Amino acid sequence: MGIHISLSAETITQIGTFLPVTNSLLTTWLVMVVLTSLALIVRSKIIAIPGVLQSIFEIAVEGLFTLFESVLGEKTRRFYPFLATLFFFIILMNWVGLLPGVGTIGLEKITHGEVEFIPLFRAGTADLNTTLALALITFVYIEYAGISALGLSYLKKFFNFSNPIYFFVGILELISELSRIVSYSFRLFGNVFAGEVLLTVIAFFVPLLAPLPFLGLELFVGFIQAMVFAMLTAVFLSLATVKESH
Amino acid sequence: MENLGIQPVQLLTQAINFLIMLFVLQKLLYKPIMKALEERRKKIEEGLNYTEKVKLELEKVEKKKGELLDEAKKEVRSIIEEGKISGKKVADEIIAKASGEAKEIVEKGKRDVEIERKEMETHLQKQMVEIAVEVAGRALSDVLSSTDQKMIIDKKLKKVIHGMK
Repeated sequence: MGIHISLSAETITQIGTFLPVTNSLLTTWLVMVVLTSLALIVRSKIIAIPGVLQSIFEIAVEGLFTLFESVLGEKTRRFYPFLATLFFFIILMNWVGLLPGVGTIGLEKITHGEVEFIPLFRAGTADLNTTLALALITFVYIEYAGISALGLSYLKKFFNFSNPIYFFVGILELISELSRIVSYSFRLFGNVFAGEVLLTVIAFFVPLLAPLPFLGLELFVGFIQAMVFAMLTAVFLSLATVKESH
Repeated sequence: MENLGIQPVQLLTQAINFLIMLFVLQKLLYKPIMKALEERRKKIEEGLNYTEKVKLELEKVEKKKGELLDEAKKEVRSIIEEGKISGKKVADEIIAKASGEAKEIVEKGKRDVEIERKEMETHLQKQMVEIAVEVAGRALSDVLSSTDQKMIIDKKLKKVIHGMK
């Protein structure tokens, strides 16, 4: 058995005729279930003097809040749910790929007489669909926040006919704005996917002990990438909602 | 796009997944925890304020206590002073009265002694006269009459008494 590496997520099964369930989608649903149940548990017994679980979540929720507050100031309260959800969702999807069994437990499928191995689970963010979806939503959210904060004058940043220089600057702004979608999605996907490949390769050559430091490294990368995604969004949000001064 | 595995349906599903997560976490995690944190912050603030208040109160009470104590000490001192003064007065009075009484008693004693002495003197005189008469009578009964005898003895006795004085 060789190393199994696939750039795209593999389809495991099909719901109806329109929704192919890929292994990354399945893992995403699992992450959602875990996150929701954790939130339910925390919520069901919120008390004045917190237990361990509540403390952990309080530290995370409050720590994120103060972190975003350093970027967004008083606008934090408005954007906080979006940013925090980005962080929690992404970090869990990154980390779930490090669990044993993810990428190794799978089915074998025979196509054209060849045996093909299909893993049952795959880190959600190791699928470009996920990261691109997140990037698109974030993009739309940032534009929406900009328009709702500044009105139509927000669009002047991109379409300005008052002066040829501003016109070209506007086009550049527009391109840089759109390129964020690509940079967001490929940065996250690239980091997580590369980490998975690295772990797979290391584990293939030296299965014992050698992957451990890399596992630690990938834990760190998973955290950093979630942080980067959320922090960049915070920065872009703060840029989009500030009136431009020429 | 095909090679990267991007499928519009998958894209949409993941977007919906994120939105669901956003909704769920907002309802279940952020709101309750933020509320709890806010409540705790308020409680701690209240507690700190209360502590501050109690501290101030305590300081006030302590100050008042000190003042009262000082006042009480002063009062006690003055009472003691007064007591000393009045005690001395009473003592002086008692001493004066006692010395007066003692003088009186001594005086009375002297007087009594004087009277007794006088009584004794007269008594003695009488006895002496009687004894002298008796002696003279016995010695001179043959020579002198009893009236003469008495006259002579009286004369002699007067001389004796005069000599004694």
